[in-house]
Amino acid sequence: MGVPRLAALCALASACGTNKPELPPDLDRPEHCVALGYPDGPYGTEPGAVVRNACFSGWRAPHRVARTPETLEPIALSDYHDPEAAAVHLLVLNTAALWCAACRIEHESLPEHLEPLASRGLVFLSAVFQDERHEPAEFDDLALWVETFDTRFPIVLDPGYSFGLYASAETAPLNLVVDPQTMTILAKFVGDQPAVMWPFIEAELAKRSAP
Amino acid sequence: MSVRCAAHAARALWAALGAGVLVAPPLKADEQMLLQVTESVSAIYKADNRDTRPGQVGTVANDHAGFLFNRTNLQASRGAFRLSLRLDGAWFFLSPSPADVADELVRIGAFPDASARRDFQRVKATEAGIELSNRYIDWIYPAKYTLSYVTRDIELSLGDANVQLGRGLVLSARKIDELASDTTVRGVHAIARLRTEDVRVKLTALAGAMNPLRFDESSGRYLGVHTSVTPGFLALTEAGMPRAIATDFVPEAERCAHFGTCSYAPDRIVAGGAELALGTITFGTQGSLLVRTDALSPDIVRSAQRIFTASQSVEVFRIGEHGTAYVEGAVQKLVHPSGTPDLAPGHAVYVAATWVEPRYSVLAEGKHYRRFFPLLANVSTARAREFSAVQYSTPPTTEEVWTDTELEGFNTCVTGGRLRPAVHFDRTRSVYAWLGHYRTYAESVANERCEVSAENENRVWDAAVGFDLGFAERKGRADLSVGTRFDDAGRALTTSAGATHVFYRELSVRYDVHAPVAREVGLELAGVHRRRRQTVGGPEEPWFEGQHTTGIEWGERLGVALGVEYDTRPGIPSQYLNGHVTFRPSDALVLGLFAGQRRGSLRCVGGVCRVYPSFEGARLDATLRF
Repeated sequence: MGVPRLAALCALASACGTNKPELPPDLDRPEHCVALGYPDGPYGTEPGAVVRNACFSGWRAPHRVARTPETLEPIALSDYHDPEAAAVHLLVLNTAALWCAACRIEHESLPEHLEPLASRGLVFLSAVFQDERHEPAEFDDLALWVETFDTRFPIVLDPGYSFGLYASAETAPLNLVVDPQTMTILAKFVGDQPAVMWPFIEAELAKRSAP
Repeated sequence: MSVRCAAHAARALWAALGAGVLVAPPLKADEQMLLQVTESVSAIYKADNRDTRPGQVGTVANDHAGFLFNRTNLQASRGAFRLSLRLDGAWFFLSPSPADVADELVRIGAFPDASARRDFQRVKATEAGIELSNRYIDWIYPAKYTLSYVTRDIELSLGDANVQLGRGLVLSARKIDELASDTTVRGVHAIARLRTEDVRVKLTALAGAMNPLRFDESSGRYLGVHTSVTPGFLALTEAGMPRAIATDFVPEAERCAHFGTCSYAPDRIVAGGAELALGTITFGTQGSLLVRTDALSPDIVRSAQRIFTASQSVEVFRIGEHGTAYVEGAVQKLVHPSGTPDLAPGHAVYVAATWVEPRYSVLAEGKHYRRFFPLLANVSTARAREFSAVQYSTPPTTEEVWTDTELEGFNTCVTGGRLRPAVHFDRTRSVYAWLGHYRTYAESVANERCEVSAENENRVWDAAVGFDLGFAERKGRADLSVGTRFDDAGRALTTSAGATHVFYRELSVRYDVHAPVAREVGLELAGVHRRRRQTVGGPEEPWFEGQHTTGIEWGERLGVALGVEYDTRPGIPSQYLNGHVTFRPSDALVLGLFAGQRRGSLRCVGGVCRVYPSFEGARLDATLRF
């Protein structure tokens, strides 16, 4: 092998997939959002992986409570973990931001999709994460969102954008379809994709209710 | 991993270069071998671009990075043969670490207690690790390579080719410099031309894999592929290209869709066209079949396993003494796995006509699209959002090329057109105007099925008037226009201030002036200033944004420009200053230095748009040809 060819190979080898990010040494176990019985890791972010637990405050039935800070209740993803599929057959985790046009368009049309599917075991949980200035959402933003769209499903505040693990904020909305028995991600929809997402959800629900 | 990858790259390179040596015939006495090398290097340092938001990893991960981009172009030609190779490389000498990103987010965040802060730090470090797993990674790869044989009647090429069929409804794989985009078809491409006295025939055929550029300079992100999405001949076309890599944060998976750094599943294409020219009329038939592997982003277009698009066009080069006309009708069928969702075939009709007299001219364009989608590349929009606009077709917008206000699915379900008359007082002075009207049914609602109803409708009026003036014996030129856009939704839109039908409003001024001020010294003034209001997805109040650049050119060797930009949206830095120097010490070398700030924006060219994040830092570009 000639010197130029060897040099070229060395250059290629030194610049092929290097400079990877490394795990910080103190990335220890969570102290805060821990739930007994929740599936153990390793957790992941792509379809086929188990979604990690996350804790929020919000409303399980926002249309049935006075929308004040005092009525906010702790809500965790583990609340919807249903190993026996007794109540929850399918879980959809959704993100929304006040600046996000696609999120607003999506939430306008959600009732017509959710009403017929709720009785079939679909739980839809939405997380409001940013206001119109792209700043972390606050209580008033959550209340405004619920008021604007007359939200009737569980909705939480996510000012730290916990769902950033799955997709960046700029690509909102995110819809993660999760199997509540194992908390495994079945599909990940980025952006408002009703023509594809709802047929997928209906097919999954049909599979789960089949004898 | 890197050695294996390097071996792939080396094999691809040697195969490409070796093919040229083997296929090329012996040199004839009258044929000269021409070799041209173009070397372009960009050294970029990104400082804090002032977009940091609490909790948002991407806004911290784009700060404090430094890298070198190198593009080496080799072109050799001998007689009818031409061999070209473009080798792209990126080396990151400075990049943020997951711990740096998490620490910064903790610093600017607010937490109820210490354990919540530690959990937040842990989650954000993990998120940053995933974000950085396909960003700021060093790669060198054969971006483009072609061996071609070109004569008057036949063009044959093996490797990468830019192709457009018709007006881009069926296939458009071409270079768009303004968006740093250069998509090609990597495979076989053939053109045959047959001529008789009255008839000309052009036949085009191609087959291969789509090949977008794999690096995004503005973010440092790359598109990675995986063996699960490179079956058959794709293993050959993807040899040496950047791969998905496993990191501390992203474990390797068997399927690309499950692998966090696998962000591109190469699309295969077979396409062809036939043009028959009879006198001043040309008939064209075009078709393309796009075939996918795993859908990495399950939207209506990317989740289609196959997309078939075909069109018929007629072009009349002369109507009377001054007119031309073009019409193209297309159909499109998206085939999804197991027939879900079952979407009816889409169709599109595009019409353009011109009439050019010495004293006036008119351009008229119209479009009628129903469920007609651009051929979006199978990229993961969650993991490589910067590449979400990569597409292989460009249905005409009928608007100015820079239009960035066809929002959401505007152009997939729309009827409308634009008239652009101009009056020419003489060869250097003219006044022009345009008026466009569109009814779109997929802008303020997600409407992939293209259901036409008053509820889904947006009515858009777009108008402008301007002049184009030559002066100083045609050495100077001024182009100034004022425009407006009214976009109203058919249904009342819910906002915090109440219901409204206003979807979008704009008033804008654009100018571009070149004035000679002394011998070999020219003054350039260019700018865009816009007052905008966007009800859904915009701030509550209207906002102003724009930019102005003042430049001075000294002959052909030196140019200096100073720019100021602004954006009055709340929560965004309002002012940006920058300077740019271009120096050409010789015809073979061009040096450019940019330093300062540039606002983030959506930039569009002919309906293809990209979001550019704001930039703050410096960039040195050098291009050498020999």
